[in-house]
Amino acid sequence: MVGPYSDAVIGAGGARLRPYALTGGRTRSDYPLQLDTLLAAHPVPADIDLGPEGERIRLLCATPQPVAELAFHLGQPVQVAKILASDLLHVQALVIAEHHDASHRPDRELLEAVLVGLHNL
Amino acid sequence: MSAYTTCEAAPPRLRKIKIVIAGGFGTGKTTLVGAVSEVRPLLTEAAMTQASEGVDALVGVESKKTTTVAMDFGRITLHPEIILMLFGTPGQDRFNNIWDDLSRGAAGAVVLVDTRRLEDAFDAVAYFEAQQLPFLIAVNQFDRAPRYLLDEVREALRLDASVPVVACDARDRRSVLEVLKDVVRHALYRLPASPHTVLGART
Repeated sequence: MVGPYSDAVIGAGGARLRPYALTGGRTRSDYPLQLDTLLAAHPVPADIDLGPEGERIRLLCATPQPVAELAFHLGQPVQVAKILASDLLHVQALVIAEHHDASHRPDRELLEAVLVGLHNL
Repeated sequence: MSAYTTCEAAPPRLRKIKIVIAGGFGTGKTTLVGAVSEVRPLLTEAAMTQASEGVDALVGVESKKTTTVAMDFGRITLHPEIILMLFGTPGQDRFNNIWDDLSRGAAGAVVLVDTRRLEDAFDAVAYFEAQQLPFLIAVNQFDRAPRYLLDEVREALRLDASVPVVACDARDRRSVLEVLKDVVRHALYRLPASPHTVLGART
């Protein structure tokens, strides 16, 4: 299955690497970011130039966003968003806004809170 | 440069919960996510780029094959500090490493089935069983299913007696919310007696 966005972003066949121009050709992020990792903007000194993409990501993360949504709003493949976000994490223009290690299954307290939350919708 | 007033010195600490939505092509995954989500992103991901990480370090970038896959994403803000995320699995290829990424740390999974193509659910059921991820079967249908149909589905999929089989209408918000509650209840039921045993468990 190929969605409408993938055609625009990836192109057919040979144009696949184009999004990685934004990352300077890098295909891996330095941080172990997952699709569901929540990112929040963090104040930086005014003299740090984050570039247009960096500024855009920080604006998007004014309220914490998962990597998945960030990729969508940037119109980029997830991996590209991860690399751009990791650059901002490096300079602490972004922070990971989570309580728990993402590799752990949720505990009883969280599951019960979720059940209440779903019930109240 | 514009000024940001979004964050205080201490970063926000949110809690998140992730539920994976699996099922064969055309079973209604996109519809289900759309019925409850506050956002409607469709994501693209290069499958092999991830699959190669840490596995074939000797293989050059130029020889990697990348496959672009699309997957649904949904979000429900349950509380200002609790975010529920839904991830529709891409395609039917459970050997894709994206499935591992989606399942890691997930609370549970929904396997959406169409009774006309039950065999499409086999791969997802086998995968979640192997991962020991709590999952349930949601039979997507337009009309209320007779009870025997759900039992037939259980039989056909050779499910363990502990796996819930529920009926749902993927177009209907209330119905989908019930399914999500069922998943969370099932995950609670499946928790080990002592919370300490969870921490060391490989997910």
